[in-house]
Amino acid sequence: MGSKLLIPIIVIAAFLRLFWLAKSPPSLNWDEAALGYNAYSIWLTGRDEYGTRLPLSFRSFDDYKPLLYVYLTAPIVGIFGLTEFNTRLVSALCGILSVGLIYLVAGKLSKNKNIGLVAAILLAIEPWAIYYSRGAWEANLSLTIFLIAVWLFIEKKYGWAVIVAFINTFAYHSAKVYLLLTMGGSAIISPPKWKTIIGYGVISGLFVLSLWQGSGLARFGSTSIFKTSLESQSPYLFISGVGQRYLAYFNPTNLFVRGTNEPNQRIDGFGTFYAFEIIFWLIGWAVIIKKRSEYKLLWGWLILAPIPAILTWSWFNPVRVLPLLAAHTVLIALGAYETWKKLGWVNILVFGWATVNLCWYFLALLYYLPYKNYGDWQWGFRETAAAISPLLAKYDHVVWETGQAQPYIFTLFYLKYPPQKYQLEADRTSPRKNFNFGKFEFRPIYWPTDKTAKNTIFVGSVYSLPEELALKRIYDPQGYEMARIVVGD
Amino acid sequence: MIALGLIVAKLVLLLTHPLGVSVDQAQIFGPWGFSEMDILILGWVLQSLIIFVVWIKKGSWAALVLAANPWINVLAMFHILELISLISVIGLYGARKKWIKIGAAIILLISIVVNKSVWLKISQNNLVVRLNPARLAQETNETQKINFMATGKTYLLPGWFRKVVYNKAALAIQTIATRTVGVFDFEQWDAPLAAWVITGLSGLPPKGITTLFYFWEIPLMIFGLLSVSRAEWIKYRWWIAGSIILAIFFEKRFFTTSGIGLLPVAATLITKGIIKLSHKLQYAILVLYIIAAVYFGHQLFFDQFSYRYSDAYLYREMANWLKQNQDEYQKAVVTNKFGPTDMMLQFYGVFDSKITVREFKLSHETTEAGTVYIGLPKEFDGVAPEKIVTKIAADDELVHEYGKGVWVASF
Repeated sequence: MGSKLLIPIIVIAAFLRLFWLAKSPPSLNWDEAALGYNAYSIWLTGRDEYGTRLPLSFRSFDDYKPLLYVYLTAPIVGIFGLTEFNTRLVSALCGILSVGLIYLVAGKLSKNKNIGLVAAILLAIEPWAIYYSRGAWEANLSLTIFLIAVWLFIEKKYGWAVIVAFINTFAYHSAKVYLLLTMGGSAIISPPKWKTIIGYGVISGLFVLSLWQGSGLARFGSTSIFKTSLESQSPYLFISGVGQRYLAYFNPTNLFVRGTNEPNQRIDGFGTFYAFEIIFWLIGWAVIIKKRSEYKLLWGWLILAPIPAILTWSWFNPVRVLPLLAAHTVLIALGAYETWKKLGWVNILVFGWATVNLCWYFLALLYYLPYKNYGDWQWGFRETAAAISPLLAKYDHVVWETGQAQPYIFTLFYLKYPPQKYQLEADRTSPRKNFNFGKFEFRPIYWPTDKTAKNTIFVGSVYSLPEELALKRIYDPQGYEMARIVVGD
Repeated sequence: MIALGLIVAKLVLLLTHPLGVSVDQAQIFGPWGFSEMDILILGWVLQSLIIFVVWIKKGSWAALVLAANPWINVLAMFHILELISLISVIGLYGARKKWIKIGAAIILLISIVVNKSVWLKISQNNLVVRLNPARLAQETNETQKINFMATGKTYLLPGWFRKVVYNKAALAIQTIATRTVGVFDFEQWDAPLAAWVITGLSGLPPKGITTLFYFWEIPLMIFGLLSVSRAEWIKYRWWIAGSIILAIFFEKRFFTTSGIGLLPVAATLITKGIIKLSHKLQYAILVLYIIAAVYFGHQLFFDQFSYRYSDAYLYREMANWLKQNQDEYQKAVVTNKFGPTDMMLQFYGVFDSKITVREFKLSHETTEAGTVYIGLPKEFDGVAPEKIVTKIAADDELVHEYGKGVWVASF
């Protein structure tokens, strides 16, 4: 019965993740564009944007992205085309797969398939699970692999769990911490034999090697709390800072009302979970406190999962700890199941309220986010690329005003710039100072001197380019002019 | 002993590093003849009495929690009447003798009436205002308008669907639910400033709020929660419910005051949590309390700009300057651009016929010899630098684009 019910749940999950996938979030952010273009480049040339052959990590913006998302996306964008939908598809599919996996994991953890089913329903409709499945978030791919590892762990296939956890380190940086925790957990629960110890040794060696390759530690170096806090604070304040960050991941207000302040991880007015879920969350805690010996693994999961996030400078940054959010979902499922058994007809009200909440969230995702919060994403590059595309053949030079975002990657993505050509033109110095390629130049515009440039298109803000010379204008979703295209003398 | 040490240390700091009082406190206590030090000592005496009673009734750990906990320390310094109200309610709730209940009720009434300006101020955007049907209707309409605009005015969701999903009743329920959850905000409790500085996450203004708990007190509270018996739950359920309702009623940013009913609950849970720990861990907690109290005390007394707006400090410094230099001027013009300076100077006992309180723009005024002007930096635009005799530095720009701190010019 349980598995039959899973089918409609997965269908709902698929709808919530795939519908208008290219429209909301309203545009690609630069990480998504980089993942998509590198996948395209790998498919066509076997090399990344810098010309490195089959890299183990992608240099991109000197943040050395893990390889898995790019390689999984390569055939999709290669066969079906370099589009926003195809770039996000791996994450969306992982989001759907995770619903099935949480059914297995929660069912096994609680030894009750119905609880697995409740967890699957929750994961299908929860704000965080929908949101991170709709962007090309490597963290969402990593969550799916993490759930596979947990499932193997529960099935007592510790060796396989460690192997999968190792594979996960190529999906997302935080997974490196989870690998160590999985290995430690396996060693404690099932004292390893010689064969296993050798296996762990090999995996550890490969892990260290992968950290070295392509400056895999670069990301940790730039975001680590040790770098930013220890230098300027006393040990007590440093420990307080870590403790406060840790608690932030269990803060009811963060989880159920406020969400995060990270610009491209939020929709105004919505938390990570729905507010009503807090009741089940609290009951879930009561359940695992009462039956703590039965839920040792869930305890370990909940307590250890925030570690990757608290090692970094940022405060409440859910994308770093999606496995923790999945653990909260399991907890809520435990509470919801306990309540469901006792509530009788009141369940109809709960179901109705959950549906209303889902409608609020999904409509906000489809309408509010692209209309009001488009500024949190790098909106406008798609439209600008479409506007300049027909002009490119006529002009020798394009000057694109640089803002905060890095337009070069969007230009490559939206114009489907041939990777073979770009790899020859790209500046390979590190850190990179020059993003120019082909006829494109990225720099500030100063019209009084730039206006004399011959055969040149200028793409810039309304403050940099004269209104009367605008050849084309780009409008934001609310109808305000945000960029214009002007041709030099 | 440690609790006693902490409370004595606080007294020493109060006497040696007095902090300026807030406008609210001056307004309430000033007419009764209280000076700055009287107010601070009153708060200290109240806190000491609470600690003493708690020590007798609940033991040493409870006394230590109340001596070191940031929330009660802040209340005893900046929200004395609210603390008196809390003590009265506890008396009313817990006392067995009728005369104590009557006495507590009278004190409660007086403390609320005297403090009514503060309660009224913080209740401007209360839950009832928020749940006003007209406001709810406006919000539901706004959401539907955004949805329509987002389609480029080409598609409107079916009417029946909009009625089911976007309606006033549902929005009211959601508002109550989110405000209730918002009471339990660890960022607001343990790191309002740090969280705000990093991400603006707490959603609270950067100043005017202080830490309420040390971060490890939160796990202790949760740990203590596990040892609460069913009988205790039943006994205190109305207290807890009432405290939460009070906190929800007011705006979240006033939680230090509006959540006051939760302080005894939290202190009890923390104490229960500590008592449940092993002796070794209890020693660790003791050390943590001492270290944390030192850091908190340092912030409270030596780094007040980190958690308070500088107006209280500036009133105090302006009054001090006028007092110390009263022979140096025949006439003083003091700005009231950032608040009720006349009332504050009266509170500090320096307001006399030589002093005029008003806004000024020195570039537009004819200055007379023997006159000093005290005001915000922008009010001195066009004044020769040698005329500025003192600059009182402070952290905040109290009036937009008027500069930080206060300057004094002498003519």
